[in-house]
Amino acid sequence: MAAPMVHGTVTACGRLLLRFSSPLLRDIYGNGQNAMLKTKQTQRCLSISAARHRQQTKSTSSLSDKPYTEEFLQEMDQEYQLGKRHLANMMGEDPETFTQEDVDRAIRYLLPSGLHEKLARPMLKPPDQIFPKQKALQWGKERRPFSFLFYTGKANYYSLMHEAAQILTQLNRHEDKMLAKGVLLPDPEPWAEFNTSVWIDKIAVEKMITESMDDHQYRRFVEMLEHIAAHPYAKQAAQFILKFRQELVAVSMKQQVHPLMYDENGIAYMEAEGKRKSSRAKVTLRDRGTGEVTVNGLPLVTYLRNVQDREQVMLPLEFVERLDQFDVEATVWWGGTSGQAGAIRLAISRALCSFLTEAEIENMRLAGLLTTDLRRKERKKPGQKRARKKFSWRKR
Amino acid sequence: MEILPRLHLFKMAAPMKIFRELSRKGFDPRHVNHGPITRSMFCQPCGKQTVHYARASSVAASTEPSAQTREPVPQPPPVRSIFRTPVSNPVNHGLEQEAQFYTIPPDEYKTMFPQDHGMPSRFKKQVDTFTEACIMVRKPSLEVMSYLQQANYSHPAIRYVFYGIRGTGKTLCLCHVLHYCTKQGWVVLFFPKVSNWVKNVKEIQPSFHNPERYDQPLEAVAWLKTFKVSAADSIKELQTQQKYQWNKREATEQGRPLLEVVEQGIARPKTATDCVGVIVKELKDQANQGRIRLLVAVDGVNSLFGRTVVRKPDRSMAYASELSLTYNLRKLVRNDWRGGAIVTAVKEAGFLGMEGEKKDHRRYTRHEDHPDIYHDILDHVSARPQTFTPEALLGKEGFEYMDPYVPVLVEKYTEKEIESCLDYYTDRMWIQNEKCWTEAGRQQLKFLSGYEPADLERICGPL
Repeated sequence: MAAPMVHGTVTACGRLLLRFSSPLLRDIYGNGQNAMLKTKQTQRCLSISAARHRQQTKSTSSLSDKPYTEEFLQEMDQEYQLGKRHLANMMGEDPETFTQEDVDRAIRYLLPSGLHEKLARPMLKPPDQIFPKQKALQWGKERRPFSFLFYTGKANYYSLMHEAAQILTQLNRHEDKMLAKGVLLPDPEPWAEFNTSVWIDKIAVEKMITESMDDHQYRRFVEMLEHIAAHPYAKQAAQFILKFRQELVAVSMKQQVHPLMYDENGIAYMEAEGKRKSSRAKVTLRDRGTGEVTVNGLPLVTYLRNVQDREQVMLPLEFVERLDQFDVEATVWWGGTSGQAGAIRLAISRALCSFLTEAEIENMRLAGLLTTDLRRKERKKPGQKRARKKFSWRKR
Repeated sequence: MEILPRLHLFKMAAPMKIFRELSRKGFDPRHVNHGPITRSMFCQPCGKQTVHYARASSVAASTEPSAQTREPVPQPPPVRSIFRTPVSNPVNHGLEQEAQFYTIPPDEYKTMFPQDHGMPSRFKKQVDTFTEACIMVRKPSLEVMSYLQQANYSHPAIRYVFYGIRGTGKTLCLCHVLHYCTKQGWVVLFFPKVSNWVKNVKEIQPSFHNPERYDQPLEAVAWLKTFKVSAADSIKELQTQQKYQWNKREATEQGRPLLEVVEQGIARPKTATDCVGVIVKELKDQANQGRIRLLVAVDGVNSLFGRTVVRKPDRSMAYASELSLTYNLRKLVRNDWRGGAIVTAVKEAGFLGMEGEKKDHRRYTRHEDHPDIYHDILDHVSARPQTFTPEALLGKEGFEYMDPYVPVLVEKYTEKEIESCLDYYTDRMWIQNEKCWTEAGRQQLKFLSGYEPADLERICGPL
């Protein structure tokens, strides 16, 4: 079902879906409502991607960007609303409360697609997502530019910089006023929104000003904003600054902690597994020990002759200052010495979690002891000596 | 992305920060030139405001850290236990000196071990660095010394074999016993690193009187030279008991001093190997007659048996019994004489494999617990035999030759010994890092070394 509609339909909007849904509807319901769908509509929608293509080629071909006209966007929006209603009816749900999530779900259900490229799959999205925001027309009827910065070539960018510079001037003026009053420095105010956010990236700024910019321009822009942010009265310009800040999403990884186990003598122990490179390790951590470590039945120093590897094994126990509290019994296989040491380290850290408080576990997580090292050996390439190293080559 | 530091705030905060740092480190902030704002804050109460000038003669100035240099005066590292014993004579060593270091007097060290021969290479360096030869009094050597004290010397000589895993101090235990016997006035025949005689051989030549056997002149001369220094006192009254014909012209008459034989060997390298044989035979005879007490100390006795890596002129490998030096030494290790003792150590380094032994070439085998996993055979305990035991190292031939013997296990450090050793290294400033002087640091060192003496020394090296 999905296959025929794939070709050339990277874009999609309401009508696109209708085209395919109409025979479907006739099959399923065959009622009067669906008879409203006319073949004329279907034909019109065939041209939709072409229409956009035309628009796009025009916009890229010349400097005078012709934005999508209001009428065009309105038309698209109407079609989107209509398509949504049809879809809701097909699914037997209330069209008034049919949300975009429901649309996506419905399409996934009706037109399942296994295509790898997400953009190639059928979709129904509001037109403002399909047709990106475009630069407004920049000159009037007598072909005179609106902006005095038009001939810089990047009018929006430079007007933004102008705005920033004006704000900085205002702040400085305010500071002077306060100095005249005798206030050397304002009391530092907490500014939580600023501290928990970062500057938005270049692409986001470009989208905002609908102009492309190079790296240097972006850097200058950020420098300007940082200058403002470093000002003692920066909070007065909060509205302006926060426009360009992005909230940091708090990532909290909750380590899953298993409850302790007890052997027949009532001594607590814990088992865990770890891996690094191609090595796998299983570790049993026993409480009330003497700090003895056995790996595959041998003492640690006999098994790992390299001191660096022993340090790896020691690290988690040393980090929580419990070197002499536990007996460690490890079984490890596959891989080389450093991989095995890393696998044991991870397994010990995981097993240790059951003996620790929440805060200590968080510390261990921050230290990276509970994170699996996903790095693997890079493959060797033909025509090269190693993964990256090349054969020595001399021009004759 | 980080915001730039607010410069005006930074200017205010920086001196405060620096002073907080400094005062935490115990500096006198008065000597630091700083802005007028904070000067009053950090001034000491008036009573203490005596300004110390550099190199002031007052007691206070000399004891306090010098603030002018702004460097902390190194505090002496904390030493917790008594790690050193003043008893330098091993005859008086007992269990109360156990786990303590004793110093071999330099002159005795020089005569016993001329040019440090026979010492482990790391210990040689340590002697150079510390400018003293200190050996820990450990249980295995005390054990052997007590046996030597109680033995009945009218019976055949008893053989003692030090054994243990690599780097536990077998050789140093042997040296301790050797010092003990030297102090008792015994004649000491010390054969260090016998493995060198069968492994790193420069040249061989057919023997003068037995063409089936091969001499090693260089090794023999080297040994004779050290023997001349170490045993000069103890054998100067001994005389040859028969006439020895070295070659057609040269001979040593009966009744000549034994040292003459040594001189002969050094002067004529061709006869050196035979000289060693003669000395061995003479001393054995004299011990049998009760004139002297003889200690035979062999380090790496397992090299006397089995294969060697010496190639004979016909390109085939020589056996240890075909080399004259090891042949003579084997006669010495045999207990067909009395009036002495044989103290030996077996070495894994000298192990060259047994004759006709089949090696297991299955490197990868199934894991015991996880049969679906293949793993490296060397990774699993069941695949590894205990290679450090004397039976394993001596092999069948050596075991039968040496039987009966008294095995003495040299183990890794105990808690008491490692504490003492760490204290010694700290005292000698071998461990200079202050973090290693703390309890946590010592614990880490113990963990990393696994209480093994050689590993501990190696790990402490860069600290």
